[in-house]
Amino acid sequence: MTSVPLPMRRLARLPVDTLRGATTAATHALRRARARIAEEHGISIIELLVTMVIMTVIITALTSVIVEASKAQVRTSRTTQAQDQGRLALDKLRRELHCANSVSVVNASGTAVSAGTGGNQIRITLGGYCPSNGLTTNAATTVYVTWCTSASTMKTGDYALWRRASTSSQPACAATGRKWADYLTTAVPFCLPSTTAACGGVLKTALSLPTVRVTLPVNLNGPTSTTQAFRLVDDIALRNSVRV
Amino acid sequence: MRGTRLSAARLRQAAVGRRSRDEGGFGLVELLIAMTVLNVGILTVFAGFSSGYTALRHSNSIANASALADAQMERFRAVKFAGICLSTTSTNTAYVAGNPGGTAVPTCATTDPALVALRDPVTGPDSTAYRIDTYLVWRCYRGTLSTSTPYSTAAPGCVTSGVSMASAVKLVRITVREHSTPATVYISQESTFDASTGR
Repeated sequence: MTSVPLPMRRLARLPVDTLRGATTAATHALRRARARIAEEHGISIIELLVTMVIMTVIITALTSVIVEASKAQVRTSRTTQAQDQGRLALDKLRRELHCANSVSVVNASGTAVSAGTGGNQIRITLGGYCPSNGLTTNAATTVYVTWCTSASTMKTGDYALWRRASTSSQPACAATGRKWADYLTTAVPFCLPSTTAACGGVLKTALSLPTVRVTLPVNLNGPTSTTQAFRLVDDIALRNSVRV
Repeated sequence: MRGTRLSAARLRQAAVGRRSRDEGGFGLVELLIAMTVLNVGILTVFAGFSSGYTALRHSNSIANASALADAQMERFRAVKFAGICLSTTSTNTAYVAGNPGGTAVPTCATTDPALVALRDPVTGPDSTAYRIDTYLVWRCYRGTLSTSTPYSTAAPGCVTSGVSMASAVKLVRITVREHSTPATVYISQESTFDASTGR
């Protein structure tokens, strides 16, 4: 659109009669101004409609792309977070099991399981000297730690891993304390392998230290899903035990 | 007045001529330039997405590789000091470029099948394949390694000008690499094992 200076516009609105008798130059100026104003077409309604239709199509396509991308981002972020939690839980367990002076794997009804059988909780006794106990720096104090799984509140069919600690007695399994991992697809992540029972992994080798097999399978899509499977497995050595 | 009218008509003609010449719209060249500029912009954005995805995948691989390396190191923690050795049963050799250097600990008939120089492929937590190279050498933190009496190849010591300083420790280095391209190292970790802690 050509912009016309303000005096020109005012001039263009004036009837020609009012300028009769004025100078030739003024008449020319008026004619030129009118011609320029006549060039100012603007946009017709058809053009506007076509533009709007095209814009709508493009914006709709873009919006669906953005929505899908945002959903994927949320899903990826939750998966990564769940896997990170699994790693952190395994790391914490490793440090506690290395320092533990007593370890037992227990099933849901509270009885210790035999070698090679999975249990939903592990009971660890830590000396006060263990840096990971989180309750005391007094070396003489004993800290009782219970790690156990209970049904996840985030995904039906999955399990969450909880850790409870106390200086007075062995805490019972409960979904309180700190939740270290979620979206686990097994209820029984702990198992003590022996020289004859492998816990689904390798047999304990002769004259090696006892180990605890910790299996943390994480899946946001539930226990039956095979996509996005993530499975942390480790045979953690009980370093304060005796070789048998 | 006549002359004036004539010149006015000429003026109008000139104006019409100018208008018809002005109605150029976009030329092909302008369109091409605009499209090129837009393309550069769009490609830059997509390149950013792509490199972000690659970085995410690589950091994921490193995290999974370190879980594998931790598990492999844990095997060495469970066995006796004498059992910290690589198995004679495997003829596979570890990737040479990652060797920490020094005298290798003699191989032995270890009972743990995982204590071999090369495990490839190993399935990681994310169900993809990795390779684990394990290097096992003697280390002296004081003095130099000696296998002469009272020491032996199986139990070397560390001496400084004929004086015994200590018995040598075993250095375990575990390197997890990409299964298909072993030159790509995801994670490498080391630990020393002392005879007095693993009797």
